[in-house]
Amino acid sequence: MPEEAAAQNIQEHGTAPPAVQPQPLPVRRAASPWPELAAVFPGVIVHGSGVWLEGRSKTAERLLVLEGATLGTAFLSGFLLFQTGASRSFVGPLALTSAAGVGGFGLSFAANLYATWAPPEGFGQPAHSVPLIESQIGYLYVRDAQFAFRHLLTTSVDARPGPWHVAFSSAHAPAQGNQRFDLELGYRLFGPTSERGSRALAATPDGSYLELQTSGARHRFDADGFVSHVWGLEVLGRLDTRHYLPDVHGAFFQLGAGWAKQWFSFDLPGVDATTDTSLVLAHLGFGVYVGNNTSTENAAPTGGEVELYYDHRHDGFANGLKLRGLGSGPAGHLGLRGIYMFSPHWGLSARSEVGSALTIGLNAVIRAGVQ
Amino acid sequence: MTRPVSLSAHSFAPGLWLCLLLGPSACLRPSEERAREDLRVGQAEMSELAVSVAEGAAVVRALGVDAVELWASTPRLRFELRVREVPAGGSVAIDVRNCMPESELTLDDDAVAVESLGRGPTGMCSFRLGPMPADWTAAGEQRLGLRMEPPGTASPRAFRFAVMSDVQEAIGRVQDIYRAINREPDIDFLLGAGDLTEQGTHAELTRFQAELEQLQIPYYTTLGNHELGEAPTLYHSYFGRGNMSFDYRGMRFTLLDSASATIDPIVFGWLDGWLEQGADQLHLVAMHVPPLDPVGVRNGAFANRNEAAKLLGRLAAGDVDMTIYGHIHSYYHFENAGIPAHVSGGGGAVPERFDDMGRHFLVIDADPLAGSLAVRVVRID
Repeated sequence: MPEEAAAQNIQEHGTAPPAVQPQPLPVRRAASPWPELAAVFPGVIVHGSGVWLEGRSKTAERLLVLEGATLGTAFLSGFLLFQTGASRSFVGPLALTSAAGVGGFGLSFAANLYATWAPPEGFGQPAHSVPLIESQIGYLYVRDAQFAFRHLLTTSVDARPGPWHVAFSSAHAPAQGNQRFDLELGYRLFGPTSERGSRALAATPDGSYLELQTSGARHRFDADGFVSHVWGLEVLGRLDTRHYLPDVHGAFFQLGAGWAKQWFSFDLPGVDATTDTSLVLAHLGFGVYVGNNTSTENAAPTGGEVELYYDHRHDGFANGLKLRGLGSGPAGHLGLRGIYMFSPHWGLSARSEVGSALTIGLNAVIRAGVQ
Repeated sequence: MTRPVSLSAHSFAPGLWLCLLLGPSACLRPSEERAREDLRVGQAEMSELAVSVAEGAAVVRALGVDAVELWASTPRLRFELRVREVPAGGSVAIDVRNCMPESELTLDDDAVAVESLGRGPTGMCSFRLGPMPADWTAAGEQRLGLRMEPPGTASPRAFRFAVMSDVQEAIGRVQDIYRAINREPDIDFLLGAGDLTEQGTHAELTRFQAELEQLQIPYYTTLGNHELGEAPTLYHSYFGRGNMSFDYRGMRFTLLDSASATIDPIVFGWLDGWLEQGADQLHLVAMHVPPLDPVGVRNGAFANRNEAAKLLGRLAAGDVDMTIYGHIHSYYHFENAGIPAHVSGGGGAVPERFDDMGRHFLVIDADPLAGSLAVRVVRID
């Protein structure tokens, strides 16, 4: 690195950037396409098979450790659930660790595929700034065999003043008697914010963060005469893959864990009752950054991210997966979401989930206060 | 001569992968096939004879030119025989397994005589219908309306029944529960909320039926998720409908198939009618998986909480007096949508620990005239 550039970096970041050590190229054990195929099989059983054939033994070892840890967590949780008979005294934490184990195995497999298939630099990098305000408007299609509503108008506003995060979103099907409102309040303990985003990310983009969040939701089902209220507490976090898999760039693990209380109020002839229950909140996703590449020619980078995830929530529109026999009930839903900004100020987002219902949503995204 | 009615066999495919491969219809309505099978239960025909259950519920176990064998899923039955060819012996044998003691078979008219042969030690009531006029064959199909019920059970009167669910792998230990139920005085029948077996295989369903012979009263039940391991409708071939409603001594019982943690939309349609029928009666609704788990974070409950609330709202608006669930291997008493609820999964399956409960069954005293239900827990261990 030229001395002037290094001095400027020290001035901006306060510390000297790490010295770049030339890395020897790994010696491949097999030529393409064998690593790519091995990532699928036996990669589905032995995570890291593909990268091992590429000679990336350290990455293979870490993927195998991740697989072992998640499988171990899943089996231990299952064993304890069985031994305690899903006792009311222990089932909450065990439900969380079970979801973490099974979902984590999925993340590990996805990372195993990505590490082998993706180019070394990935498909993109984290966004270079967090907008102060992001608003969305769009359409949500819901196919739930139990309910008649199908088409909803969705809106959301997401503000991030400094480390704080306030979001409001709604979904309306007024003619079909269904409305949902969500309110979130969060505080980012570390990671990019609207204030420190561009400065912190300029040299070494990193989307990792940890955020505490409380949220509330009100969901009306007019035709069926009930309202659901949910209040929850959750820890949300993101870890860019390179922190655990140093030669895997442009991807991230998305995690969330928490607890929520739910109340159902009934408004039916002769019925004036409220029933309360609770929820384990768990989210495990594997995401890929797309675009956002910095280059001298691209002054206003465009890009976004895509995430495949498991979410343990049983409220909302998707709810839990319906399985025919054993296992039906506790499982949450699967989802795929993506966002892409065509300029710093506008873009599109999409999300599809499969649980008890199939949902597909598409939104226009408008951002303000982008650094 | 009888031949067994063919047992449906469908290959098992894990629901999640079926869902992902075949699209949303496979995963959004996992119990649709079973709801449609309910409509076929109780119907069978051959060129000489046909049978059709019109009220109550029963599965046709075997049908021959001169014999019908049913498994009763409810205490009172109304069914129709269509005689197309008079059998050589001139009469038709009607055997009803799992019948109420002292059940009587009566014809809507006096076209032919009915002879009662009594209730055997295996819980089977046998009747002989005939002799039938030889010229019936030439005259074309003859329709015979039949009603089987113990005397007086159409009128409201106080009675007692028991509840037991979730036997699963503990079939080898269920005998002492049956003996305890037999010792309880004046119990009319045992009601179940599913998970009779571990996997729902032929061998397990046959074993469950064999063990039931030690019970001195009939067992009326719906299915649980553990009945779905081999084929979704194999259970129906043995014990009949998963969704049904019946009246007994002025009280309405509705059993729903929630084995896949959901109620199929078809069944919601039937439920509206059953709730209307039971609006002025004591009404108990039983199913295997509860809409909401009393311990929410466990979610041994419906996969879709919105659907759970929809169902509970319907039951509350329909003036249901009590809900009974299985699936959770303990005992819980709570309220859902204001309706008293009891989870009783004490048949012996892997128990919930640290709950000071163990195997148990419930004894419920019902008084349809007073509109009261009293529940007592009987511990086995």
